[in-house]
Amino acid sequence: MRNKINIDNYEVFYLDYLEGNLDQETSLDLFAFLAKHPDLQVEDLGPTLADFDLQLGDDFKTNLKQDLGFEKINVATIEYFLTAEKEGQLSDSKISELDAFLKTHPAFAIDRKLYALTTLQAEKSLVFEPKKSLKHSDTIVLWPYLTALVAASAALLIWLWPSPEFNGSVQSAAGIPAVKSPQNALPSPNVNSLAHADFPKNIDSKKQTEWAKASLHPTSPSASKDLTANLKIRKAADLSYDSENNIAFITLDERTPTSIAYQASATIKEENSSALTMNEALKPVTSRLSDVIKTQVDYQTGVNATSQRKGFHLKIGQFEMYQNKSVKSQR
Amino acid sequence: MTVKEFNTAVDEFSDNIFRFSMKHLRNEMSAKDIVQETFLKVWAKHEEINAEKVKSYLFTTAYNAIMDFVKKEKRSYELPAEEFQGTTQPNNTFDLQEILNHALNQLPEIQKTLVLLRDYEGYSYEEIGEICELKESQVKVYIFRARQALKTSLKSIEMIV
Repeated sequence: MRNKINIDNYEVFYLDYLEGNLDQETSLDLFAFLAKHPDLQVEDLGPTLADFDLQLGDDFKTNLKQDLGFEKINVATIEYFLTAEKEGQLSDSKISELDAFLKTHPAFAIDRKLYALTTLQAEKSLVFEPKKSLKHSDTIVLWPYLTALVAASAALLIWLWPSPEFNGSVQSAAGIPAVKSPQNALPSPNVNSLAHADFPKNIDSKKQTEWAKASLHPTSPSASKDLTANLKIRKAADLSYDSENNIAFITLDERTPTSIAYQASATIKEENSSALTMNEALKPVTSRLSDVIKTQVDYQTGVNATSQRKGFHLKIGQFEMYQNKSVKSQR
Repeated sequence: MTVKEFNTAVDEFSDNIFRFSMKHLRNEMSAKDIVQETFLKVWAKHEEINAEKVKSYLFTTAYNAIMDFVKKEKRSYELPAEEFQGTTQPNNTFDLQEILNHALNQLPEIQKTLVLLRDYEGYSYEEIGEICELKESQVKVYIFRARQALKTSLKSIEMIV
């Protein structure tokens, strides 16, 4: 029984064991062999040597230890050592021991050479050519860049947006909705000072005509401030008047090459339209009369009449006459 | 693993996976399919894979794909030897690698796999065990048996030694 099981034949014994054809004594030998070489135990054999401990006598264990000296190189174990050497599993001392054994057993020297030749060489000619089909490209996330680009463009546009400064020359702006013909416009006003959006307080300083207050409504809210400031240097020619709708139009443009036009409309809120009309109607007459008779002639009605809310006030030289609806007086 | 590292892995290991597959399947088209499938699976999980272990991951994936292919198609031993030049019967001209390749094809799949990983890729027993999900002792036994089989095939040719 001793040395019956070795690395070359243990599989046969193992198969016999699996098939139930192995007697107990040989089974013990098999498990003792596998316990000594756990690396050879490919699969779970079920019972192990420990399971037989109760059945093994001390003498039997002693005999096993004496007989299963696998560390020793001999004819039964030479294949294992040669393979182990090929796999680089042997220590230097074992290799020396193997060398010594092969000197005494030259027939195994051939096996040593054969084992050394069992290394497979990769065939470098075999290459996988369509490597590109396996590769992937980096995914570039564009949206942060696009967002930043849009934001930068918007900021640049706002920064470059021209402020509406006027050089005094007023031109017709293209695209402005049609305005009533200047035939209905008031006489060209001579605007010298327009301080704020209440323009025009006085558009004809020469003839001392007080015009109604107007509210400016620039088409661009951001331009309102600049527009108001720049009205000071605006020429009178840019003012037109829609008498039917009582709306004054101010057409402006700017000096920048982009020539963005602004249109502002002013709704005239007349405070005393009747007096304005009467004064305007009689002014030429009284003025002419003053020139002819060389005496100051003045005629006013409404709020302009002296101390009167209504009625009229006529003055010719030293002669003055006034009248209101409730009280008539003559001096 | 980044996209760049994945592409580097393609350059470095696609040939290895292809050879590994060719040795098993002995069919170029099938081997290419295995390579494609392997890298496709690895790409799907590339963000979870450590770049340093991608080679092991690739071979594990390839090995599993090959085993599935062999089981499914049962083509491993059915393919005519002529399909793959490297597995032809050794001719009169002595060629050690041809003899070994022929002997390799006679080995069980698992032994063939382990020897290829050992010789082609230089993996240790432990690494091979991780790739093929085997214990290190099992790897050692399989390789020892494969070596003995290869040695026996060489021994049968008298002219070698």
